Amino acid sequence: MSLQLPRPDFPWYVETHLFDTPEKISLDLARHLPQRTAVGNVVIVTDRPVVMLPVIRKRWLKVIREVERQHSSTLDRTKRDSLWREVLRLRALTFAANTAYVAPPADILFTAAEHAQSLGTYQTLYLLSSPSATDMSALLKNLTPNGLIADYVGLAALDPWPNT
Amino acid sequence: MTATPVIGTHDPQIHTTCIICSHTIPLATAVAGSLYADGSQAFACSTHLDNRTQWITTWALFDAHEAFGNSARPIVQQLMEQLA
Repeated sequence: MSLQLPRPDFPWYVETHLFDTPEKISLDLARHLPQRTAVGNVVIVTDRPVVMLPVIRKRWLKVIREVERQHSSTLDRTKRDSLWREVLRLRALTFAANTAYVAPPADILFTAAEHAQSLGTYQTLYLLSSPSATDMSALLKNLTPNGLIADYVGLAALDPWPNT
Repeated sequence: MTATPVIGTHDPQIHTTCIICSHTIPLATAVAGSLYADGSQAFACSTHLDNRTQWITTWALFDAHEAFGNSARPIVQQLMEQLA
């Protein structure tokens, strides 16, 4: 695989999350997602956005129930307030799958890499499939400075930004 | 794909503080979460991801603390230390 892009002027954070089954990937993503939605919009690049959305959405509802459980199991006022605030925030987030060339508005958008041209700006990019160099370039254009690339396909190990 | 979960490829030369256990950790072993009030990135050790109670509660306390400022700091800091 060859993916070489101009080295960006501003840093992004890159995390590699490698798992051996799709179940572990969706579980890890659903656990990682809540804190990143607090930062801003999220884009999840996958070959099958329409299939992946309900999988993550189902796990997302479990995460919300987990936070609700923790909220109801504590009597500590500060913890209760913080957890309730988190429940309300998580419940309000919207999901959408981008199947056309105009991206629907959503906090968490699932998209195929080839539809990256139509996206607005976002703070977190989850890579569940390997985009082409052209698509990756388009995806990175809309990732804000200091944003996060969560790499589930091992792309970061290839160092797509050589020092040339 | 590897059989072993691998999390974290941030710059290994740079260290940060885990918001959960307060230890200084290399970015290579950190997971990016939400932001500090000043807009800088907050991190936690990737090993904490599996302790769901600790992970959810501490980040919720952290977010509330960063959103509402120093007035809540002593109480929230104390609770976060208890959880760590």
